[in-house]
Amino acid sequence: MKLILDHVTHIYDPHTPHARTALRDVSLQIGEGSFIGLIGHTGSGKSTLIQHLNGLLKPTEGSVYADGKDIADAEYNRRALRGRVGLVFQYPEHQLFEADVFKDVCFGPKNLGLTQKETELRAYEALQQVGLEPEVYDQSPFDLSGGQKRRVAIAGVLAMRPEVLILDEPTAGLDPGGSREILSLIASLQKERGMTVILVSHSMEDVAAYADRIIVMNGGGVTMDGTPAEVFAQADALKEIGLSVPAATEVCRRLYAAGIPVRPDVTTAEEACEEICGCFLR
Amino acid sequence: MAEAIVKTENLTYEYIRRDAEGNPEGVTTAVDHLSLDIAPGSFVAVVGRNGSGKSTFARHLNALLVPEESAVWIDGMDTRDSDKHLDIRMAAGMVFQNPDNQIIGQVVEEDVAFGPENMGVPTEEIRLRVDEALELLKLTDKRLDSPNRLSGGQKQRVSIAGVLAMRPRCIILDEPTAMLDPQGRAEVIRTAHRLNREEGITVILITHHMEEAVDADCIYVLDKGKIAMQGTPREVFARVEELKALRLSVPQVTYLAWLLRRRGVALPEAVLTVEELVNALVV
Repeated sequence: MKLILDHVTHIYDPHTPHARTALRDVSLQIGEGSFIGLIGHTGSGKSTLIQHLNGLLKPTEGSVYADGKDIADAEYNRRALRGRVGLVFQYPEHQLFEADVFKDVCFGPKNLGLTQKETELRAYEALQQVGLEPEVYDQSPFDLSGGQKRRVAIAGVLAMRPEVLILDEPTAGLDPGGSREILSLIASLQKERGMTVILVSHSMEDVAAYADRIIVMNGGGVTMDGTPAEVFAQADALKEIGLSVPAATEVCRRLYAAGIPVRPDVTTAEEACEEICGCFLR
Repeated sequence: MAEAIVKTENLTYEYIRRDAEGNPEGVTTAVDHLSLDIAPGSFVAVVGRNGSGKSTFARHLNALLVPEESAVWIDGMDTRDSDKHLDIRMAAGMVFQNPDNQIIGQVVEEDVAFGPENMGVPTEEIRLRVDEALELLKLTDKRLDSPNRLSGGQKQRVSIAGVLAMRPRCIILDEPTAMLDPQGRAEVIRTAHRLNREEGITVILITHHMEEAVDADCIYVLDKGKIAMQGTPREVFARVEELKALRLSVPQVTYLAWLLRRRGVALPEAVLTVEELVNALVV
């Protein structure tokens, strides 16, 4: 599925003294099968942006197109769109509510109007995809660990078989082991199912490790858009807007500045290791 | 060494797991015979995976939980003595994860005054303490603001100011940055170090962001309620593979240096900062 934002501006509480512009004239194209990292400090417009992609928010000005169709059109099926563009909010486990895990995962597909059989089939499939053991299917979601709860919540969105999966800080509050597991799960889903993934994250290291494209937001607009190497090459500009680069990038930048012939645009520890070994071990 | 500000001896905390009908299913030992001494004026980080017992441990340090068998002493006071609970909570202040759950005042200075007010501190003295706490947390210009107009990092600073107004000898920060962005996170950690350095307040920081533990005097790694490792950041972060097995990690620069060392690049055993690594390579 292809999504296009065409000159989108969003103002909260327009025509009131509290009016606040959260998005300013944003134009973006999101193609099929990419893994996009969306970064920016708090208040930069990330959450407002992602809520436009599945029609939860409507642009104050401009349009959003899904496969060429304007999603604001009266006849456009926005309910189906919410199944095709799945959104996993921050701390999604706070939204679990059913008596058992299986019922909770069924909630999304059921609301899409699917038959009981198809709903259950998809719920099973999604629970398998997130790696939860059948023993927990009939347990209360509230008895699970934090990492497991988050998997249930992600399964609830996957059960709608979205073509685009948007995750708002999916690793917040998880320990490093839990974070690694969730991120590699998302990466494998993206590869195996050809899904488009949009990962909102505060961790430059995570974004560098998984994304093939990074979109940087600041003050409601897109200020950078490119590969991790292209974006993290602009370390000074990132620092100016309160962001940073991965430590591995910083090390190579400083070595390069000190006259050591390493590539200054590496983005992961493994890449940096290869570059540095190339210079120091001959 | 001066007398420990926090001392635990075989601290053990068990709770009964129950099934959906409320019948007991078994016993979970959240903290398991944990003994440690924390020296006054030190900055200690406690790290561990989700469910390792960090928060249960923290709740024993200001008598929110009281041990049944073993013992905890805060500034020499036994937390089993309920007459001492008010003194213990004044000596050891606690800041939690979610700033929105711990701020109650309509105005910043009112929120900061809440603790000393409840302790029965005279009004003039409260005024003095609130001024001082706001000054230390660099919040003086926000004193008349509504807390809900502040950023996450600023709100956590208000929470810390509220604790500080009780003049504690020790502050326990239980994952204070979990809900903050990198700027807010840095703001809170910087503040904790400044209070430790300039005011001599003991800081116990509970976190699973390894970067936040780099400047601590000592790190305790908890696993299954026990101390799995302890030492200076350099000692602990040298054990990259063991930490990974405990579902933890090391800062990326430490990991990069570890990769390089394994490949045969001459480097010290644990590198903690970008500067250190660059300086070690550029000779």
